[in-house]
Amino acid sequence: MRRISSLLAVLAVFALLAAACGSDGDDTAGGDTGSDTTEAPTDTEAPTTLPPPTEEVTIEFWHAMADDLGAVVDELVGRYNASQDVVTVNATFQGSYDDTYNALLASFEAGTAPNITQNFDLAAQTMFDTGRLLPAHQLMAAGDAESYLAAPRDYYSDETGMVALAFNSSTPIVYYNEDMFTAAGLEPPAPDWTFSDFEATCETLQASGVEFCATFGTVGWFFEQILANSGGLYFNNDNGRTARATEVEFNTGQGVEVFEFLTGLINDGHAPNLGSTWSDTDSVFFAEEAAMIFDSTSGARGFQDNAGFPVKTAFIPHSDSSDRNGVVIGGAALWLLDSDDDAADAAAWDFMRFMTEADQQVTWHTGTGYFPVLASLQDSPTPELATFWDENPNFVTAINQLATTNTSNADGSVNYAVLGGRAGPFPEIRRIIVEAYSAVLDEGKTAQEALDDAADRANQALSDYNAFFN
Amino acid sequence: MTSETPVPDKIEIPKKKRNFGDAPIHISLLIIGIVVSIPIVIAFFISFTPLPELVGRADPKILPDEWTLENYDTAWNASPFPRYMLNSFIQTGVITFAQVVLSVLAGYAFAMFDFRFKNLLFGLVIGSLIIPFELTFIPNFLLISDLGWANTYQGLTIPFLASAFGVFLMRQFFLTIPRDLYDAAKIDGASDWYYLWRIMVPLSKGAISALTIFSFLGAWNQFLWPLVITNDESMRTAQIGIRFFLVNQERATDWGAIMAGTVIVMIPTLIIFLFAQKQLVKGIAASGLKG
Amino acid sequence: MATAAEGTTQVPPKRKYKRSANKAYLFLLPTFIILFLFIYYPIIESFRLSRNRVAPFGNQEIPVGFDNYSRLLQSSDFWDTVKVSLWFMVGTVPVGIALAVIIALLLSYPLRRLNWFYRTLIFVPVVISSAIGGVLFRLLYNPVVGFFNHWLSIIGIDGPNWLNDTSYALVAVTITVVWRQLGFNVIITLAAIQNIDDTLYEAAKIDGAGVFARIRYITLPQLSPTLFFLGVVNVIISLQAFGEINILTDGGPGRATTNLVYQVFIDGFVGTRFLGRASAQAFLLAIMIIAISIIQFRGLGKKVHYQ
Repeated sequence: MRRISSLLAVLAVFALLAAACGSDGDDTAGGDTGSDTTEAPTDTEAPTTLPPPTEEVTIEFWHAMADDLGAVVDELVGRYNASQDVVTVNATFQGSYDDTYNALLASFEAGTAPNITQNFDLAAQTMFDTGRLLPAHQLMAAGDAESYLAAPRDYYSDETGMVALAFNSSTPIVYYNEDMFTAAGLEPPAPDWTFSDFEATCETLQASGVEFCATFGTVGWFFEQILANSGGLYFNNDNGRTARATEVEFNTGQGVEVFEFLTGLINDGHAPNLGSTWSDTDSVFFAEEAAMIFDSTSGARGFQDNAGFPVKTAFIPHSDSSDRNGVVIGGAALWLLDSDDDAADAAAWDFMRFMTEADQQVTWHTGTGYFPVLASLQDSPTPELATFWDENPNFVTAINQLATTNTSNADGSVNYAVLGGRAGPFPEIRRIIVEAYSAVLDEGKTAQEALDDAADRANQALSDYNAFFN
Repeated sequence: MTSETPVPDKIEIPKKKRNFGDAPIHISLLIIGIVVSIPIVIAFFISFTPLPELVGRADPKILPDEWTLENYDTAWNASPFPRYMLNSFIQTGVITFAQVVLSVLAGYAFAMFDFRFKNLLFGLVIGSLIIPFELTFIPNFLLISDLGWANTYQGLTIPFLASAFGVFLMRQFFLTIPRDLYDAAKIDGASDWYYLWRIMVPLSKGAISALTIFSFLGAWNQFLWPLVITNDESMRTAQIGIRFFLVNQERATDWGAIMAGTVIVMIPTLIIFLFAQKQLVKGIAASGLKG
Repeated sequence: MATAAEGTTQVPPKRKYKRSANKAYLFLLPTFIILFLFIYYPIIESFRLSRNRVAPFGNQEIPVGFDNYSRLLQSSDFWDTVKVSLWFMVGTVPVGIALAVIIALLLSYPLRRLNWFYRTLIFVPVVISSAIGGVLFRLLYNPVVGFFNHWLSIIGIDGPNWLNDTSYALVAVTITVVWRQLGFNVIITLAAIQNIDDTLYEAAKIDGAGVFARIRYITLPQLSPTLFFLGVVNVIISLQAFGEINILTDGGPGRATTNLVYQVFIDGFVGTRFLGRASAQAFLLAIMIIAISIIQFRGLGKKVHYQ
């Protein structure tokens, strides 16, 4: 017995030692990010611009583009691999944005982090906090940052400069069934239509026999966007951009009006309650049970090709008590993770740069609906792009919506609302908003009550998160 | 088992009562059987229904107008489905084999030997059955990740190599084998190892095959653990593959392909069910009776 | 490995004992390594984690004593998940067992043919996983292409949006779980029914008892140990339901189907991770399971009729 107990004790010690030391996981050729200790790798020592790679190297690229979108990613990756012999990019679909984000965090512990990851907008603060990034501005030639559109560039910058490379940028738009609008005698919506205009359109549509005038998933994104469009801030400290966000502000000011509008659409029978889905709302729109749908511009190709009726697009509305303020970019960006291996980093940067080049951006845009992030493509589009835009006006709406967004206010100050909120536990807070919808729609709370509850929980999440990263 | 009525009863029950009694039972059971198996039946039929029949359809039909195999093609090729199935087979195979072997060994020890702390150790085995999975899976996740075993076969299998239930089952069964057999073998010079594998095990085919089936089903149907321990597409098991399939196909709501994938994942368990139904049922029944 | 024949009195007992003890420990070793590493050690570690705030990444921990627990016990969110867990348990266990008894009684009737056919149809869910069950029912519950609402509309009922209506979401998940558990429950009940001594029935028939009387006074009491066993097992399973919820509703709408297990999963693995809070909830869940089991043993155990 003594022997056994000592054997077990030795095994236990081994187990605990193994757990404490944490060995490296599988090697991704040339791209392993190594240890999972708490030291933050210093990225201030990284060279500005790396020499292009000369030896063969494979890099891992994680993305969250499913289905048709994923097919275009694969096409672009294939194009890159075929264009040169040195770098091979291995693209892996990791699931939704949430899944990709979690996969990345898990990979830090396991030591299997990729070279490039596509992470969504909300992950920005967290990505900065990991301390594992190689900021883009350290690798791009001076002045190159200007070649990108201001909005996506600024969204992913911190005080040192542009950190991530916006790749798939989108804004929310309203798709509508043109036949139903014509039948109801409606003109296309004005670019700066208000909630009242929207509701009036709803009355007209439903009076003409349409079952639901609109449909949308009760996700956090639309709330954030319409709030920004109405001039409201999500977080304090200038939306978390001039200092770390410590409190939310969505339960004050415009926030309540916006939330009342959205929940009101469902409560008043203008839109069905389908939960926080993206696909059930698509089904309802395709089945012609709803005339309008809130969705991302990234769905443009899908809606246009799969609908059995002509599809048109419009800007998202804003609150009655504000002027149209503009939208925040959504979607995701490409983040370069420091791998301690210059060759791999250089290879990864080369690929990232490739993905945002004009040709690739055109393929990406026309294949999906995400808009091109190169300023030059907007100012002076290629002939094919121009023709494409003439023939597919739906693809231009988001571009125009962003182009008419004021990045500075009338008094010259920065328009932080459209710059977008930034906070560590943003994904958790989005989940809290989804639950706030339920509080209003299912439990009968008022918008203010639901948002106040949500604010309490969000603030708790913020303070817990900030306790680690101050 | 008394599914046949003993002779005296046959004489007592008047014929007309029997004729009246049978039909409603048949009907009730038929209805219940259909209701219970409907979800699976529908899945089969939808898996053969082409996409245009499913999109935006307001009144769904069970039987397809046109049968097609393209959903299976989509399911098999759209995501690394073959890989998912392979992963499941490896994971399940390893766990099943290990659980049976370890349970046989431990069950033998508890049944045949006397040693200090026997009761305590057995108590620990039974005690582990009470402990809910939620209490252990977070630290297990951290431990496995720190060992670098996330997204590996080791990570998928090692925490489950032992089965307390299996130990219990094998011990119970081994206890029913007469001690005289053991004593006789010992006199003939057999070692414990020999006795266990050459004599006990062949006598225990029923219990071992029941355990094998349970372990297989349990491992094949695991969901939460593979979900948290794998992120890599190439290491996902079939169950997780189905879940991601649902997410992946969400935009197109291609239920045909989703159901095709579901059917593929169900096939091994359905095969076990059809061919090993008796074993399976006996095993479950036995555990219930002794419980 | 043949040893010389041992005389029964010549071998000193102590040596024999020691040899078999070593062998026993050796045979037990692999099992206990796994049990220790992956069941017992994690309990301790879980408790330790629950007394810290754990960073979402980067391996940082801030010790907070029992603050995670006190926050939970004071938060209405936590009690909501407890309520969901309990409602779920109340919804699935009695219904599941009652259905199993009825179906098992029907199956135990001596039909001359087709019994195997009905059994096959009814037992099938036993091999279906929670995830597959979820996918199958997700189609059935779909508001546009789903079959439940279609069938309801045929008889003139406007079906609810099962998975998105807070009043119905838990019902939808309950139905799915009851369905999946049915095979197991029926098999066990049927075996127990078939194990009942026929002489009891004969004696009752002689006394003139009809079918329902026999069921009430013989079958059910004889079944009580089995029903008790099913009660305990089904309660534990229902309190740990996860797969169906993940596939059907993701805990929604809102938090209508978020039970304690699901909340542990969300806190630990979805969005921003709070491993400390997750571990604390896991512990509270374990306590809940053990407490309810004890209540079952004390309360209902007395009513069980043993031979």
